[in-house]
Amino acid sequence: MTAMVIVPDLAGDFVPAFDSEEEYAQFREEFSEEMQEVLLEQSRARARSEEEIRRKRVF
Amino acid sequence: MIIDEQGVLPIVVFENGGEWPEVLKVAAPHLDKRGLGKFEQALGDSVKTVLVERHYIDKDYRDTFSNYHSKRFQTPDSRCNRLHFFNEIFDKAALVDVERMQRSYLGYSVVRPTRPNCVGRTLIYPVGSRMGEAHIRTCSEKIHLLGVSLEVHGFPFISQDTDVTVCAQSALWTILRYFSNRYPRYGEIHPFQIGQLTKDYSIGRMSDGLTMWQMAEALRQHSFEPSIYTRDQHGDQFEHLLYTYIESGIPCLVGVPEHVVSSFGHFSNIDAQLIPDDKCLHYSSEFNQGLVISDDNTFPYQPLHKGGPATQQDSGFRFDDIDSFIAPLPDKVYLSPEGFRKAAELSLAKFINESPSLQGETLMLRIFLTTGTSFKGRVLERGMGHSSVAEVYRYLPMPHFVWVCEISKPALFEKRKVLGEIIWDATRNGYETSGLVACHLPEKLIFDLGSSLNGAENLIKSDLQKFTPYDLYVSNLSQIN
Repeated sequence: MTAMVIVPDLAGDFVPAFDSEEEYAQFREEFSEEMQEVLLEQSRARARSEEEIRRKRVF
Repeated sequence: MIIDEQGVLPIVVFENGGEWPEVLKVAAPHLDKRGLGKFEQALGDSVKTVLVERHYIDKDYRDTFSNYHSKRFQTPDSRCNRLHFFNEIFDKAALVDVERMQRSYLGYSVVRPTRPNCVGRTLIYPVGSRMGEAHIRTCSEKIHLLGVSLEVHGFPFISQDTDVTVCAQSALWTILRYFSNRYPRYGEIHPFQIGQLTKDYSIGRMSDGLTMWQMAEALRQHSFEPSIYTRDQHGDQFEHLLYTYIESGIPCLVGVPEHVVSSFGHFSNIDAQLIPDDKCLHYSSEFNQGLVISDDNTFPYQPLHKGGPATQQDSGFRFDDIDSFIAPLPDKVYLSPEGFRKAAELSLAKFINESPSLQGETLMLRIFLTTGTSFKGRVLERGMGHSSVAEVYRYLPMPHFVWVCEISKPALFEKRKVLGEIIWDATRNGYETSGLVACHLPEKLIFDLGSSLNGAENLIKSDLQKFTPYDLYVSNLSQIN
C-alpha cells in the first residue's frame, strides 16, 4: 500500500502504478524520446511561422 | 415611433418591426446607413426599443480624439451617441422598472462621428444566431443608463476608423478588451495606446496596418505569451490547433489574406458521422463546421463557415483562407496543445491495457485547456462516473492551468458523455515528461500523488467498479442558439 494522504478514506485502495522501478524507468525513457521528437519539430515549425508572419501585413 | 426626438435621450419604439430608419433619423449625423446596416445584421428582429444616449463621452473614442483628431485643422465632434437595445417595448414611464430593463437589455453600441465606419465600442448579446448551436467565449460589463446599472454579456466589437485603427488594431482591441473585462489582472487599453505598443517595431503610420508579428509583439507587451501558427508550417494540424485554442476559451487573432479578424467561438456538428478510416483515435475538432468571428468590416458574431459563405450574412472567408493565427496565452501556460496531444496519446497508449472496455475501440478525444479551479468546480455536478474519482479530484492539489483530454466513444460523444480523461499540468514545459496529473479510465484511476504534494513523481492507481458515463466538461464556452 502506498502512503496516501489526499483522501485518507481511500488510501487502502491505491497501489503503485508500475510493477517495478525498471518498468517505470523504461516508460519514462520511451516517453521522453517520443516527446523530444515532437517538441523539436514544434520549435522548428514555430520559428518558421514567426518568419512567415513578419512578412504578413494586415489592413 | 419616436419619443422625445429632440431630447437628450430619444426613444425609438419598434411597434411594427420596420423602425430601423427611425434610429438613423435620431442618431444622425453620427450614425450613417452603413453603421445602421451592422445593427440590423447583428440584432435583426430582436430589437423592440432603442434608446439613443446623445452627448455620450466614450473612453475609446476620446482616446483617439485626444491623440489624433484634436490635432487636425477640422475636428469631428468629441462626443458620441450610444445606442441601447432592448427586446421589449418601452415607453418613458417604463424606464423606472429596473428589473424589466435588465431582463430585456441586449447591450449597447457607441456611434462615433467617424467615416467610413461609425460603429465604435460595442457589447451586445449574441441574439439571432445564424449558426445553429454555437459556443462562444464571453465577458460582461456593467453600464449606467438613467442612473440604472445594467449588465450585458457578449464579446466586444469595434470597427476600424481608418485613421488610428485599421483591422489590426481593431482585432487586437476586441481581444484585449475581452481580457480586461473578464480578468482584473489585465489593464484596460484604448485604441491609440494599442498602436503605441508596437511603436518601437514599426515605422509606418497606424493606418498602414501592422504585420501579424507586430500584433504578436503587442500582445507580448501587454503581458501575454503569444503562440504563433501558420498553415504552411503546421499542415493538417493547423485547423485542429485553432479549434483547440478556441475550445479552451482563448480568443485568437485569425489571419486571412491582407486582413485579420478575432475568433472566439465555433459551431460544430457532433451528430455528424465520422469519415470511416483506420484511425482508432478521433478528435472533436473533426466535427468543427465553422468559427464565430468579429470582423471589423462587418458586424458582431459573424459565422465563418468551413466551406465558405452559405448566405450573404456569412463571412466571405472560408477555412482555407486562414493562413495564420495568434493565440494570446496567459502567463503560466508553458505546454503547447501539440505537446499535450502527444503526451496524452502516449499516456493513453501506456495505460489503455488497464481498461478492457476501451481496448481495441475507436475513441473520440476532446482536448482543451482550463484552470484547475474551474475543472474542480464542475466535479460534483458531473459526478466523474465514480464517487472515488470525484473525491480524489476534489481533494487533489491541482496546477493553476491544466490540459484535459476527455475520452469517449463516438456514440457516447454524440450524447455529450465521456468515459474518462487525462489531466496534464499545463505549467510544465514539454520536456518535463512527468506532467501527468491523472489518467482516469472507466476501470482505473491513476494519479500522481508525488507532484500533487510538490515532490517527485509517484504514480499510483486504483481499480474502479461500476463506472458510468458522465457529462463532458462545459465551462470555457457558452452555448448560443
